Amino acid sequence: MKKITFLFGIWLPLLWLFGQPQAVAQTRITISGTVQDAASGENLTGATVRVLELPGVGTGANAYGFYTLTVPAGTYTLEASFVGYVPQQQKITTGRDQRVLFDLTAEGRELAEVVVKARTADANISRAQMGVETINLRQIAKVPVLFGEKDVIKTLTLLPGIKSAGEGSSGFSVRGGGFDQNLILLDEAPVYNASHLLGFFSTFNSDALKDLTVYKGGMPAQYGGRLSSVVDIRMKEGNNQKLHGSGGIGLIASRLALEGPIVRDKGSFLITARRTYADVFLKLSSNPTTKKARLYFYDINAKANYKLDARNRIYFSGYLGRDVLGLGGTFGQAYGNQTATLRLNHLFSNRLFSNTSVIYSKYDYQITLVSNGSESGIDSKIQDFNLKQDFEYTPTATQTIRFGAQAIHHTITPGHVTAATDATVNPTPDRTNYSLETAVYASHEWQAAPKLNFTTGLRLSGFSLLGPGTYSTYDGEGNTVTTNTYTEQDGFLKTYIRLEPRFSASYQLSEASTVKLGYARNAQNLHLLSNTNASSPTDLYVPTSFNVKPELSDQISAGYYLKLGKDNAYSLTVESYYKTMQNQIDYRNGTDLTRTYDAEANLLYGTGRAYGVELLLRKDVGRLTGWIGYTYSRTERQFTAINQGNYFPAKQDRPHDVSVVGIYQINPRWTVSGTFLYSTGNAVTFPVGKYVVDGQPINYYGSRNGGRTPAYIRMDLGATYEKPGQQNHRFRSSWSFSVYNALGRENTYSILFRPNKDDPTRTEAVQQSLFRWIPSATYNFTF
Amino acid sequence: MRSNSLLIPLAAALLLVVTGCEKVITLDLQTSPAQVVIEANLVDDGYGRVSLSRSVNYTETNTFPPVVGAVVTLTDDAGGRETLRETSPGQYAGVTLKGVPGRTYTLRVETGGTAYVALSTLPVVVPFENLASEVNPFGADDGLRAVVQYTDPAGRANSYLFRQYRNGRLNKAIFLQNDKYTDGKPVSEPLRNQGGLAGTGGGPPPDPIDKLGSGDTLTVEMQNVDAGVYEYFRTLNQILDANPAFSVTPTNPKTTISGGALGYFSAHSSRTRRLILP
Repeated sequence: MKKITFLFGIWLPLLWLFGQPQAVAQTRITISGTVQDAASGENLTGATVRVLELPGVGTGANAYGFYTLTVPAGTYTLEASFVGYVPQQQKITTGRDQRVLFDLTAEGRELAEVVVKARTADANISRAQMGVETINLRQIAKVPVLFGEKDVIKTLTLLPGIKSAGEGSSGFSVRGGGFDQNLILLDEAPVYNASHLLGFFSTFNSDALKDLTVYKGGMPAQYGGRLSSVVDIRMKEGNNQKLHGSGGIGLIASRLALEGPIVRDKGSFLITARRTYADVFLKLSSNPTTKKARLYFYDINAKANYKLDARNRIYFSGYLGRDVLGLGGTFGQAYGNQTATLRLNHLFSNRLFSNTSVIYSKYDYQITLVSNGSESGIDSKIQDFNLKQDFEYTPTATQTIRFGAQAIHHTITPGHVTAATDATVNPTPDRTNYSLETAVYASHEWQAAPKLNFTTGLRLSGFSLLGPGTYSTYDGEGNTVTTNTYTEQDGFLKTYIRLEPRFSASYQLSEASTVKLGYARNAQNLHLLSNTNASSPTDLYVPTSFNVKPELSDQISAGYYLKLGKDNAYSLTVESYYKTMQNQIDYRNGTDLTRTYDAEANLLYGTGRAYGVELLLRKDVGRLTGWIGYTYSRTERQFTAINQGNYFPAKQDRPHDVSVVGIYQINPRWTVSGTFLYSTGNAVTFPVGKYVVDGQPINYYGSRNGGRTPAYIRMDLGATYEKPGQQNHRFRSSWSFSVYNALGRENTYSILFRPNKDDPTRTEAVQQSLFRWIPSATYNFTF
Repeated sequence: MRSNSLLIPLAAALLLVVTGCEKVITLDLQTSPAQVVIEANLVDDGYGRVSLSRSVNYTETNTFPPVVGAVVTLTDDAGGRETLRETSPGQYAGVTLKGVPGRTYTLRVETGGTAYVALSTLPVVVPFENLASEVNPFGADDGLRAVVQYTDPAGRANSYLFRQYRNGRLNKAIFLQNDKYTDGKPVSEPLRNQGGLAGTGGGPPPDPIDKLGSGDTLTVEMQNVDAGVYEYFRTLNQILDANPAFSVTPTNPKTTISGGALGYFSAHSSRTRRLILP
């Protein structure tokens, strides 16, 4: 406990220091303000503000659209720009601090008439941050997807270094990391299960989202808690000018969104809802049991914000999603996420921006089973209360300091059987565990010389297992040695403190090219246990404990960034990395996780290493936009008990990976799009022989992940039609069409080995594949 | 309680069956030196039966060479000992040492200069109280399924293995139950065919020839097995599972045999009940 108090304590004097009025030199002034969409009032996160008279002086708007710049007093032209928007210039003459607000207008439909410059590339050139990609929902709106459901997580896996866990899965691996090593934040709230319907859909309804930023390495110090990546998803604020609605009717699901001002220019709200209706088709089945089945999901996103005054703005965001599977009255299963975030933006001064967040996050599932009239079931949940304070301080034009602290209280109840006394089964113990995750961080972004930038960060993270709880120790074979039960009075049962340094440096070689170098350490204290192919709602989270040590990763990376072509329409990114991972988790062979409430007994601990090179050529402006990505990467694991302790490829080790995304606007009515993917097959365990038991041929398996599935190749095509002459109408509509896997290639979902039908004495390998030529049509509208 | 078995039939049936497809492919598989495979059983009131064979490479036919001339001995913890006689190539049988509930047996197989040893305890017999049938809840299309009834003895871990016969023909599936959630309870549980889309407990996909219908003669053998044997067959079922979505990284089953042989040694009870399906 003392340690924790100490951690927070050391920051108090600093807060006081930064909060004081600044002794500003007469000749230097601070320009600050926000960059917003003129039509909706949405904050434009990542918009660039430059001083045209001072080459190299510029800044980016933060997640709340806020920017601040310090310059000598004088007359300047400020330019705000953002991809997809017409840049705006404002002339100012000033001798004192000033607020300048930008309202940018979205680019017109007639792209040829407006020359819009690419700005995303600028941040890559001028900042030291590495391994970051931003996806703007406007950009990906026309990328073809499965069943026509726009899905940011699926689109994310088209970027180099990010690999899908498999067809029909919402899981992904970043730079060789595990599927649970991604911190997925929805308006700062962690989302524990990002999938609906066993992973065929992600939990994120695109209608509610503004943008997504993914950090594949060199995470800024304000983020922590997962090894491989941070996926920071921001919801739209809602239009603060006019009431608008939008929606879509698709094959599988329909959506509706409503947004508008609470008080014009001061506050707005957004509410979106989505529901699938797969179960409607089940009613058509001739099988009476299938008819009684329930199978659907829904989700609701809501957000509201209000500007209290020029210095204070308050935000509320919430998410509620639920999947329901059931069969008549005999059994049912429901699971879902709930999140709520309350945030207060406060400007202490023009240079000190503060955000305070109170965050609630929950994931739970219930299974109910009615047998012989008595009810039993399985219950599980993970629940977080999270308090976060961030400061952003800009002392000079060349420096930004970010610092803050965070505390998360976790309550994790692993699945346990609940049963009435007359039930046919006995209840199993409720092994709920409690833990506290804390962190303090500081980072310093510094333009040391016009061409030289440094970002130095340090994150001190703590994880404490709290009482009450029951914990065991195990011998090498996984047999329980001792079991101790702790009470609430025992307080902090075990605390781990980890120091996570983060560093990156960039040197601008020319106007259009930059080289960078970075190092980052990350720690992870919540670990997902899953040993199946599909993401299952019953996958289990375990905290760091007496046995499970914090996972650690160290990543070094180097990159080269180049702007190319007329108006810098193209950007090229080349990044390479080498990563080591400690305290990685795997399972003893044959572990049955679905029936284990004492999961720790089945765990093995080992190390990992991953390395790779990623190339990304991107075009964000013009009629043709999109990207081409290529990755060469390897990822391996080492466990004493697996493969005689030798390194073996992780399942997601797919050395070659190519992705192409293209969106072309033919004319104001028609836009066509396509994606193409190629990747080496997964590393899997194949039989190396066979033998007989009980008259059945049984596979004899060789080394773990010693085989490989065939390569994965897929092309998706899409088209969007907008009726002409709608520009000035309130009601607008469009049609989206897509074909998933247009080449019809039978991609490997799994391979099974079975006797040949004609000659049962021989065994054949049978490839199972899921989706070919899946068409979809969606009708979208706004009003 | 099989949590996953609850969602598979719905989700998998909808998404896999409707859109999935299968294709035979050629894979470049590695090879392995031949492994010794031991299948050894000792039934209560019966004698030891041991079958020895070798594994073959994957591309070969299912002709598994017998291991001849091995020295196979069976001992119990009450001083009994017998060397089994090779009755036909690879088949070894005992004639003196009988299975007795509560005793622990040691099997020793020596061949090619290597000795393989396994222990198994013949559990105390739990009576097989009744055999019933019910309609498979996934619709009448799928026929009937067997329901076994017994009272689990409280206070100790019990494992059960069931074999099912339709009109005298053995169903390949090995049905397993234990008392993890039912200690001391009267149990009335269906024998779920867990392979394919119907579950995640593993086992081979259901074969239409095993489908139970009205008028069929259903025979079920109930075995009390020790925990090691249960684990062997549970992990064997995992790799026989054909459901792609819920398959785990395949590994060889957890054997209780030391020395590097594949297979199992099971000292178990055997009680059989028969039912003409209504």
